[in-house]
Amino acid sequence: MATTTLRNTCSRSRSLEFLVAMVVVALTLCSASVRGGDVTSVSVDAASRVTKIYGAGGIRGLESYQTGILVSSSGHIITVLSTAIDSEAIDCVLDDGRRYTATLVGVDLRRELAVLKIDGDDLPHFKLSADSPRQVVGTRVLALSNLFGVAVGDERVSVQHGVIAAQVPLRARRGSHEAAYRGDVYILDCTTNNPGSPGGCLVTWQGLFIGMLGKELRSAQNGTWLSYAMPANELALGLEMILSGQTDQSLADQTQSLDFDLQSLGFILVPDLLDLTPPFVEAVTRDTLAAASGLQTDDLVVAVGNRTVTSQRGLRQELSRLIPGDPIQLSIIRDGNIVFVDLGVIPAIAEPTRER
Amino acid sequence: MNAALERMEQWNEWSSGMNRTLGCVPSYCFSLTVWLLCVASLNFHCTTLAEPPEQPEPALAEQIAFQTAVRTIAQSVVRIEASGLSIAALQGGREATPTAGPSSGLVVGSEGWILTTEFAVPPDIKEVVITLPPGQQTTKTPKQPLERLVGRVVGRDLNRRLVLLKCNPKTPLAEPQFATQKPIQQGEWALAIGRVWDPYEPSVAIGIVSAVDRCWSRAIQTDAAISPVNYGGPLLDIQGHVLGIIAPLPAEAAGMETGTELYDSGVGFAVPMHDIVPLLPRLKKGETLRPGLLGIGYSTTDPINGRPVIEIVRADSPAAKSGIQSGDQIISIDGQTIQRIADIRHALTPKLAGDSIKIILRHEGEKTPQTIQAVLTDTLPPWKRSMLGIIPARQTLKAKNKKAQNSGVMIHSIWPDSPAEKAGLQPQDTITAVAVTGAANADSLPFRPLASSNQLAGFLGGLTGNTDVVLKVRREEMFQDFSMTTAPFPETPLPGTPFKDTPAATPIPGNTPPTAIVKLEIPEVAETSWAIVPDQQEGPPLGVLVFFDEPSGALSENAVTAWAASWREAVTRHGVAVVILPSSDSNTWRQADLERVGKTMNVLSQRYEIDPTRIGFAGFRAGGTFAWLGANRFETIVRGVCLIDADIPRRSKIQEASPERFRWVLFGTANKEDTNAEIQQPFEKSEQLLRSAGMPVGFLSFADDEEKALRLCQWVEALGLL
Repeated sequence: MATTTLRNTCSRSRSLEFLVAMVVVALTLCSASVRGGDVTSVSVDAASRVTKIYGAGGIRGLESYQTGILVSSSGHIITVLSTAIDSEAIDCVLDDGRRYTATLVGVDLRRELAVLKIDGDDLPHFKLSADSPRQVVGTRVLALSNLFGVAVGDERVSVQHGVIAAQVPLRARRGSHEAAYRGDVYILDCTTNNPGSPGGCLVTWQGLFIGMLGKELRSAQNGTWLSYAMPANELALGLEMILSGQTDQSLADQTQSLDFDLQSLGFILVPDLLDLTPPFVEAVTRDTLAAASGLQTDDLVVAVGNRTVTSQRGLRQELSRLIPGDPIQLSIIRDGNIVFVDLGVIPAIAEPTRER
Repeated sequence: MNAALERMEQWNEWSSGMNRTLGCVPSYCFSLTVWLLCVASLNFHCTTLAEPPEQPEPALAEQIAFQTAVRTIAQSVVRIEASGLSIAALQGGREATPTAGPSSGLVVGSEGWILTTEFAVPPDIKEVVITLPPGQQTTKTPKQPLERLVGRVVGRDLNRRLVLLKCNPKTPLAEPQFATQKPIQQGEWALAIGRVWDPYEPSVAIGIVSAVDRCWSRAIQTDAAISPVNYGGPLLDIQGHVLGIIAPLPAEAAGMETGTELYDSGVGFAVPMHDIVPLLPRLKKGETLRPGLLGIGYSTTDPINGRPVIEIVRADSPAAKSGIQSGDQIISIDGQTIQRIADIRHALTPKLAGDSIKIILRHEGEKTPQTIQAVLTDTLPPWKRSMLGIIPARQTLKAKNKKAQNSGVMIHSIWPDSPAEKAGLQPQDTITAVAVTGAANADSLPFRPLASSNQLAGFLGGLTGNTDVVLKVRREEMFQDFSMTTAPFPETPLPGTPFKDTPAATPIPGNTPPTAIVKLEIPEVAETSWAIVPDQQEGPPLGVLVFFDEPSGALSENAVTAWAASWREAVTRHGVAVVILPSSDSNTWRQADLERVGKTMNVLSQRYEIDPTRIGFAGFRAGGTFAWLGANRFETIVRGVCLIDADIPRRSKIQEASPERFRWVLFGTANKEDTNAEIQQPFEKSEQLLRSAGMPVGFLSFADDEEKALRLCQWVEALGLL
């Protein structure tokens, strides 16, 4: 860590200024070492590796600016994939006010990442590693981003503080569309879902780079706005993929949600008339998996495996996540008690067999 | 020391590398720098070695404290999901009450008692699924199956929106420690815990206690991020002890009812444990705790800072039974000193039905305070507004005019066929005192002197049904008593004929009355609102009609001028300012437009003197529905709503009418061939609901825009009816 700090900072300075810089760094290092989580020095250092990004957009609801993170000394910048960078001219403004025109190197559609490149050298940056350790809930963090675009020119990006509130798979939506990425993210307790925040950097109070602020998304669970960050190791994987020229177009996670045919399991639900019709069993067909498991009319399905369902739609969604060979275990409420029923495993052929 | 030497070697190696890269930099620079760095790192190592087990630095110590607190509580925070409409309810076609995803709950008894909020368990839900925390030893991977139990609703606290559930765990649940020993301090750490994100691990948000005694002394306020992800979970102090249950409480002052509007805003609430713990035994017994009502009201323009003088005493209410009278000044409630109306609300809002309270008060005109005891109730007898049938002269807020009013309530006009007309009251009469004709001797009637029409409104607000009253009236410097029986408020608010007016107000035919069109600009708001006002320097305070048309976006001055043509006569004749509020979106009315309504009213009241008892909202089609929502948002000031070719939104909450919350509702339509059957049909259901809530509902039809304008402005005048 110390080495990185020094190398990145001093390489920016020139000739005689260099000495001064070294002394400053030495002193900073000294104070940071002794006091550990010095918010000021950590912020100043992290801000030098963050860039303001200005691109297309500016239409109502779509911002034309966001934030990016320098990930190589030669000017690779990782940021979120958005309309702002879907542009002929993308401008990146560094912490010292230098303005560069960036080119788009590639995108990772699943993680919704983009890599930009500016023409620089010896730029301060964060080193991404696929082995970055995950942080635990309650870890104090600093989020640096061009929040609302208030930082102009060489003004330092804004710093927010908070903790990691949770670490969970992302289940988010934008409008009615589900987000493609389903991997783990850090949920933050500070509000980082504002214009300009996407692409900002997340560091611990000790200065360790741990993630990138995500897009403006809502939770698919309860519709609230999400403040989240993609962990550093995922970023590293995305970066590696983009730089190696692969373009992951397979949105595998997304396309698998097929409408599940409950009849093939041997039961039907009460008519699905409402948004949140509870999954009550209307009827069980004789000689089927459902009948064999002991499922009964009027049972209320409340969970598939470990995941709770509260509506018929939820039940179908959960079942559609299962792949052939997965066990089908339902928790149901019957006469005020929770009962488990085991419907065996998902048949090898996903297509429902229709026998008459 | 070895480590330091190793580092020094690394620096040397690195600096020579740098030297090659930047050949121009003299090498002594590097030597110096390296030396400095070594000193730095040596210093560091020396300190660590010299001082054995060092305290972690504060930021880290705090982080450790947060994480320890979360661990301390983890076993007591459960996840709650409602899947629970009964089949009967579903087949009956009732709409589902959407519960937005899972919620959290807190163990309050090891035998399976779980406390959560109404957000997780809406009123029509009786059973929920409770997911218990994973066993203590379980790490995140591999994930053990979680234990789920059925939770049954046992008790509810409707005043604090809490729900007590019972489940039957196989092993006792972990009871948390409550922080009820010491008072909660503003500024102390507050950790908001939930189990929504991850059933295996509770989530945490960090903040401080922003305030105590919020929501009229029912809640702690925190800046920790509060949202559906932690409603029902505990708010902890830094030791991991429970300060309170996180709950979406209504921030009435900000016009927010569900309490969820404030999520992630920096404002969150929790119901303090020291209030909940004493209630737990009652909740466990299956009680439903309801807000305690006393049955008093005030008639003041400042319901927060006004003097704590009671104006309205609801008939058959605990207040009436305990001997509280109109005009009493409250001195203390249960030992809490009362100095303004807000203090009364702070003292009463946390109370529940059945609670007995001790009130010290002073009757009007008396010196010795009285102590009374009242038992609060959960429902007040239904209230219907009764009237005398007088329309008082315009009221003013300005101090300079107050003196003129102190002599009584001057009558502007008389409602046709009303008790006042039958008793022989006339425009320009002044009512100076009023009394209920009870069993008391006619000579010793407890006359209540009247200084303002507010006081008369308060007096009438406390009456029920047909009550015999006596009015002391001054007519041309002569005093006379008039007896009458109050009548229910008119069902059809607008009589076919204009009500009896003072002659001066009748317009001179052929003259176009002078009006002005004014821009009402609000700082930081792009859309300009407009008002059509009588063009006069001096005059009585204006009534206000805010009109919402179909959404059309911003209006040009020309459009407004054209629109205003049909309003000119009505505006001057009845002394009404008609405000036209354009929608910010050309296709739809938005929530944000509601906020503009309030600001526009403020701008208007800064420029013109307004009569607060004559403010009505009206709207056409989508604007009509929006007018209803606006009236809900500003319910304390809006006395009437008129929906033209519009109905109230189906899910809109209709609150019981009370003296403080009273609204006259009109459904209007352009007069086609024949009228009433056609107009009334679509609104039957709303009419029924409104009437059963104690609000008068009328129907308005008009032949053209001029008539519409006249009828609406006349109605605004009539809103002051007493």
